[in-house]
Amino acid sequence: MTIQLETISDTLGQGTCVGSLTVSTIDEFRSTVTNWLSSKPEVKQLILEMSEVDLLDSSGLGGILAMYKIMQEREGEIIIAALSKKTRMVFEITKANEIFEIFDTAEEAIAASK
Amino acid sequence: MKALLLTGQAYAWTEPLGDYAWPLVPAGNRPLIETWLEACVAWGITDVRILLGKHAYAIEEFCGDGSNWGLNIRYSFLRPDKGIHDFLKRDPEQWKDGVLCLTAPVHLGVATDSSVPAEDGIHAADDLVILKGSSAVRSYIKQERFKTNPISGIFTRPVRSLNDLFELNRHALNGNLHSQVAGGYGERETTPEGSTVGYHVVLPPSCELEGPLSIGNHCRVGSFSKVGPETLLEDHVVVGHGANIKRSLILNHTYIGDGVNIEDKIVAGNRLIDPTDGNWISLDDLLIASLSDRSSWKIQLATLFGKLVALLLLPCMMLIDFIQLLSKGKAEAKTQQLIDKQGLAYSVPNPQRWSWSKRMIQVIQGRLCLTGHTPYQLDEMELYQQTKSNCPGAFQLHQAIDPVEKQFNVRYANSERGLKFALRTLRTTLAGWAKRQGKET
Repeated sequence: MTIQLETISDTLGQGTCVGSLTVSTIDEFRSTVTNWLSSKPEVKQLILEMSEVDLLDSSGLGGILAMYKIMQEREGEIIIAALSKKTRMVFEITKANEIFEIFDTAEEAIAASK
Repeated sequence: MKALLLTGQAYAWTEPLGDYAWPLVPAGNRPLIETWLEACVAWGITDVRILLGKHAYAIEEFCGDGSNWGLNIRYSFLRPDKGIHDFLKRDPEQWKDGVLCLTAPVHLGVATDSSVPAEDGIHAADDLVILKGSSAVRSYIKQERFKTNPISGIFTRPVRSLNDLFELNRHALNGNLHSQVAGGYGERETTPEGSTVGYHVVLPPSCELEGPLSIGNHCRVGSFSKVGPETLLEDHVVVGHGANIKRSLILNHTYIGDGVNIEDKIVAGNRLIDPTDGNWISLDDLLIASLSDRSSWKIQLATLFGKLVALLLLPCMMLIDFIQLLSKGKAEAKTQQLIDKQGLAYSVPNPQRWSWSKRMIQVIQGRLCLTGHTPYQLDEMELYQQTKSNCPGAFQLHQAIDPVEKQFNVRYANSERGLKFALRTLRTTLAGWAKRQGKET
């Protein structure tokens, strides 16, 4: 599992996730995102682009929720973009869709954040 | 033109229903959202976007990819605190050719000669809004003051309260809604006029049905129970022995226990709701019907006992059948006379006349229990162990129900196989027969 993080604007960042977000990869995901956020204290919104995520389990979702809490502490938010059908079902079953703002594409998420 | 259906909002009036998705509440005997999808079909709209929020999984599970209706359904998310204009502003350009927006719970009916308005502008009827043209979309997104044009050829009925829902279904059952209830296996000699019955439904001869009523798929109605009038049972509803349900709405996956009386109510799982004010109570019946634990030797003993009882009763039952045959001969003679006088081409046999001796023989063979149900199979024990909890007065089967239909049947049958109920059923039936014989003589 890889995640490429970049800043779109002063307060907006985007992470493109590729691969599986499961119990075996979640630690790497967490440490990568946490370290990046620590180096960018001004980022208040982080878009997670998940079109290339082929597998998401409860640990993966737990990791995303952990990032959500970190962003909440700095009065920011995590925005989810481009869920595939499989990952969308995970969000629906766990009702996580009621917590996150979810967009169909990263472009829509970026436009809405401006 | 595309359609945008907002389904994820939370409404205070739905709280008594518990964990029930409001787009899936019945309107007649199909979900409310189905009337929306059918309106799209009637107007030639094939691209449908459903905005999910609360109960997303249940709604997507029902609608699927839209192929059941010939539609192409895609899904997006919108948090429950957002409105449809918030979604439109994400990408206004994709809606400029026209979009039909459904923004709140409403029942829709479309006249056969109706069509989508041709002129640009904002057209509205209750919670249905049609936006044609970029400027209409922009005005709506900005929530500016705008003039709306009426839409002809549609019939809307907003659902703002449980009472609205209740009345909507009453109108549907009485044939007073523009889009009627879905067809079922009704209009037989055993179902009253104005009724529909779904598939895989068990209706014992001793139950009374009074129309208008609608029974969904996979329902079980208990012996000596009365259902109707103006009653709707959704799918997977089990009605216990001797229950009485009138002018009520029983939602999916509900078990109504033995002897329970329900009038002018909505039942959602284990909640009994008064639609006039939304007050509800939780029903927990301690007098659960089924046996709490069964080991295989108990099953075999119960089966053997049933066979012995059937063997003892067989001569008596054969005598009853013989007497019935004689009186049936007289009834057939009467029927024949009527046919001759009225010149009818056929006669209809009376479905209420059972063959008692045939049933006893089936019990002795092990093909039936005395109650008339299929007997326990030992391989069902594992399923039974998995579904250990019993059925209270009314409860939400949804948590326990498995896509495997057999498990559902095991749970239902558990509540009706007790010997005590079998003997009580026999006693009541024999008393009823004796009373009828007394009247005829």
